[in-house]
Amino acid sequence: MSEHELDLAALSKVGMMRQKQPDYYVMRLKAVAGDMTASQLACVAGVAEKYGKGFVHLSTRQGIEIHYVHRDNLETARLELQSAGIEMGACGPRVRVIVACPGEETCRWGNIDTKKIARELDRRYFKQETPSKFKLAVTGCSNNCTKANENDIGVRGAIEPKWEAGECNDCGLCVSLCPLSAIERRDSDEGYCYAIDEKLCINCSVCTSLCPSNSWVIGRKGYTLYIGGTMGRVPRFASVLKKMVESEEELYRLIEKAITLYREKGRKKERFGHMIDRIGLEAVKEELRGKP
Amino acid sequence: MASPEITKTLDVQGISCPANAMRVRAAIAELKGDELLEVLVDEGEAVLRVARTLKDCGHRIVKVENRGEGVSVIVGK
Ligand code: SF4
Ligand code: SF4
Ligand code: SF4
Repeated sequence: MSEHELDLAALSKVGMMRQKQPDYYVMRLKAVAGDMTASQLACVAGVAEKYGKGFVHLSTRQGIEIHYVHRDNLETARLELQSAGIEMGACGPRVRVIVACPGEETCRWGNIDTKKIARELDRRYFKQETPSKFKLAVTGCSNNCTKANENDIGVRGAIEPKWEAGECNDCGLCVSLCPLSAIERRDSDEGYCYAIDEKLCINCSVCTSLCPSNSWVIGRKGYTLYIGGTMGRVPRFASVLKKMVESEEELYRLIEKAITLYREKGRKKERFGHMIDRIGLEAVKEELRGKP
Repeated sequence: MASPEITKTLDVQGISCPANAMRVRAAIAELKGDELLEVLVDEGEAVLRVARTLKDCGHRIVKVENRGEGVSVIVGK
């Protein structure tokens, strides 16, 4: 076998998929959290010009694909991309490229450093084998731009607001702004206070960002962790494993347990969420969180 | 102290973002002393947008009340 003739399963492992057209392949590139530098993009453009048909396809998961690459050129094209620091994505039954929104670095609503989490998850899990495909997404707040609950594992930045009288002038703005109408003005010994119905609150940070006197402060900050989402053949929204995970260590520990459980108990071609439904959500939660 | 009077009303319901917030800013700029302005704005994205602009510019929000599918916001300079 010549250097250029790689076997098909090995190709799919490194993000190259056979097209309908004989001998032509899709090269799926990796962009963790959807980020690429301008010079990397220029390299992608060059490779698409030279070895593809001069166009790229943007996937729904922040990836770039170069289509119509002849199998004889795959290895040369891959090396050219590699020289610009661009790695290949993943296909098949393994952990796919981690998706993330821009998060707190640039977005007003961001509660967490989404890119940092995505890079860490990438370092830990990218391309590792799982019973079926496995997708992870990180989203900065409950606006949920990267659809955390449509992923096998979803991480969503969350804050728990706390009201402190401080400079509050009783304007009532927070009551009108809360998207879930979770805030209520109540009479209290000090005259009045503002309180939250925790069952309604989606931990979004609208009140803490927009109160003119900063009377809504961040009480707790962390991650809402979702498990078992998929939008594939049999869609299933993710279930909340824990509404407020307060440390990065705990987040990674729970994710590790979830992936380990899926590896142990998941059947081939059974997505994580469908495994959860087969075993029972409560049993899975108990297994992952420990008995309450 | 006599409560300051609402001297003007501005209805920006039905006006999209960010034009609504820009009109509110322009109207506030014309207020004198402790005059107050009542703004009527759509619920949802619009009131979020107007609240954000008011906070960024450091204007004083005196009272906010829901009015059906809109919100009344009383502001000063
Ligand atoms: S999910 Fe939140 S933090 Fe992320 S981009 Fe959307 S609004 Fe911003
Ligand atoms: S928006 Fe802030 S200042 Fe106004 S009532 Fe709510 S907590 Fe008080
Ligand atoms: S965090 Fe969001 S949902 Fe919760 S009380 Fe504040 S504005 Fe409402």
